[in-house]
Amino acid sequence: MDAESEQVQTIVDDRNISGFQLVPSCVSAMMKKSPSATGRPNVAITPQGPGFLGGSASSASPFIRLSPLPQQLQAADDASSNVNVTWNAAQVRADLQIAAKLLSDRHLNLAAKFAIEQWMGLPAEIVSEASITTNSSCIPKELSSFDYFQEETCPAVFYAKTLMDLGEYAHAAATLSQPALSKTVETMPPPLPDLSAFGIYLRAYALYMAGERRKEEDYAESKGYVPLGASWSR
Amino acid sequence: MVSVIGVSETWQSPHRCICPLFLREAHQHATPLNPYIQQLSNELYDAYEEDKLDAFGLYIYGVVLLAGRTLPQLPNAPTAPAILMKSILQFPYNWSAWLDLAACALDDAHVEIEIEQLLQPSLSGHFMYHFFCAHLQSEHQAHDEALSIYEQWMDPLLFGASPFLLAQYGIMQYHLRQFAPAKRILEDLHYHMPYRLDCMDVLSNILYVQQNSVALSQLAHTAVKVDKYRSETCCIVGNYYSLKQQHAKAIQYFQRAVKLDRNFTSAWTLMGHEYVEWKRTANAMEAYRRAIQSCPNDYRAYYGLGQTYEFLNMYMYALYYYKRAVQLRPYDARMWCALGTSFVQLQRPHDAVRAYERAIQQGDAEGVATQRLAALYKQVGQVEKAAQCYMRHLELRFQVTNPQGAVASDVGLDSLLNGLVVEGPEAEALLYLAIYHKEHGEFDTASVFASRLLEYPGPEKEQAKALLRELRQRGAGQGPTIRTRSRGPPDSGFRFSP
Repeated sequence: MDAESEQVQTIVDDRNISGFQLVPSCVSAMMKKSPSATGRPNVAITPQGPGFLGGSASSASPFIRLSPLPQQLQAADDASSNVNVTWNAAQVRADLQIAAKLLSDRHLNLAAKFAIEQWMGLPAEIVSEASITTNSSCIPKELSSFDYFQEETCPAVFYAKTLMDLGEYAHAAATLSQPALSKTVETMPPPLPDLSAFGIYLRAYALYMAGERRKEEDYAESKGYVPLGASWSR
Repeated sequence: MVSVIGVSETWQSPHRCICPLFLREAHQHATPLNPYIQQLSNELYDAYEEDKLDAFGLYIYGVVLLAGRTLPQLPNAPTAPAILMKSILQFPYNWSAWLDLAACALDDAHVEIEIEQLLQPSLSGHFMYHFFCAHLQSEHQAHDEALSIYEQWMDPLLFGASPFLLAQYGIMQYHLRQFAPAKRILEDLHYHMPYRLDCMDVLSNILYVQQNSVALSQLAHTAVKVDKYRSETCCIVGNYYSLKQQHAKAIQYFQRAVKLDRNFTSAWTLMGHEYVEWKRTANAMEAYRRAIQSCPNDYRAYYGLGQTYEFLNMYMYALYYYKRAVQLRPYDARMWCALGTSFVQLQRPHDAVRAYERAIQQGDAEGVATQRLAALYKQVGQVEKAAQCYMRHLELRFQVTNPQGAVASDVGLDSLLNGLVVEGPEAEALLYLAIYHKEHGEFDTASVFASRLLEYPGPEKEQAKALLRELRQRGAGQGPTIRTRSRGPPDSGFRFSP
């Protein structure tokens, strides 16, 4: 299948997301542009006649204008061929790698899975012509260079992270909270002072998960069945 | 998979569509709430004001705001979408954040304007933004646009082998009812990654529709081996039993699917279908209602409810639900057909006519709408349109019976009529057209139509015989026969879709 390479669109930003280049609409055999591909009109047709459906019909997708593709497609169609494809696959791969690690460290497993699947989708051999610089990365430096394993000195954060891996969410949140005046488990005390950003996030997330679990368990019991616990460890 | 992080974890199966936690009033009291939301909301607000939140802190704050929308808010508290966008701008690779933002956008149309203003300038070239757009298009039922976005990114130089994109491509094709390409790509994905169960319930739906019990049983077998206690697996097994007409077992598995994940819309909808098959209408309606509750934009539940009420002869209710289905999916001829049927039952022939006309506009391949529309035209006295419609119906039936043959408009009238399988609707059409042409003095054409009915074992046969006798008498007394009118559309301005 021929991929006619197109004009590159560079997005330059006043923050760090600069130099991220995209090759739009490679006109490949997979791009089915003929309207008969799906045999239907492309845009939802609004019903004719007022009040035909007895109310307001929100049938047309209001979201079409949000897609950035039409302008790029237009640009691509105008471009001459034989422009080198320069979307920076190496940079994207590096970014996805870092992102997967960051997400995984923070127990955002589904988002990590998504990032890794895109990483898997990148071509196996990437020619690293363009150098990978921190300036062209989409991830801010303070995040990408942060490794909680190295930076955190307080054992509480490590303990909390491990407890979350084990599924003990409330315990994890309590680890990062102030000691309770009365040793009760009814309420969660406020967070420890001087927590790092990572610590604040971890505690909030653990507490939220603990609450969600309680909610689902209460719901299941009210419906009269025992919640199947296997799903919580995911 | 129990949805533990608000709405974000529900992305695995896209037709388990995103529904914000902010439910309608009637359900608020019935839905349990996370007990720590208020506390988290306050604590994170403080941290936010003191600028202590990094991109992930912002994300969890956004999730908490989204979950706590029904609770009283602090006076200067930011909104969930604003915070989520801040998080995304700092770290765009958090797909859960994008999904939660999509949930906000579906709930409130103004959010889309904010997204356009804040995110598009810097992120419009980023693939995450494109995937987000595609996702939102899909939620708005604009599956065409979503499909084109995914196709673009499936280029081998981009993300050609991404399992996510392959799965999304298959699912979009499924929603567009292009079952062959959908099946091909999902089976391929399953072959290469048999442990990835994320969207395999869609594959099981396709296999069910195609009545492919062998493949479905293999899929069920594999899924059970991989992970028995997972919603997708339960749906697959449920479909398998459903295909074998074992209703009780199928229901049991669908119920297990929703116990594992109560927001799995697809399981509720399938359960509804199964109850309908089993003739348990009350249970079916309850299941469909739960489907609508978890995903207000799923047309299948509305359509199912409409069908159930129709089955119970409660046509006003059926009409209401069909209207909702049509609003969600205005390009689907089946929805318009169903709407037309309801109007007919409610003695509203003019509305029914308009509904069937829309159905035909959207491509009524089986010829169902044309025949009903023709009958309606006859009823309201629009003779020309009725004749044209009946003719079109015959052409469509010819096309269905002879899919490999020539196009209907190219063959002569004789071949067309001989190539037809004459059943009830066709007999009605033939008789009407015979009478119509007789009224217009085209006795030759009229007798061609009438003679086609001679082998039909029904009441029309006698009427056709009588007509032929009359034609022979009158034809004998006339001069040269008038030229037959062409079969093309007359100038009434009524146009069929090609």
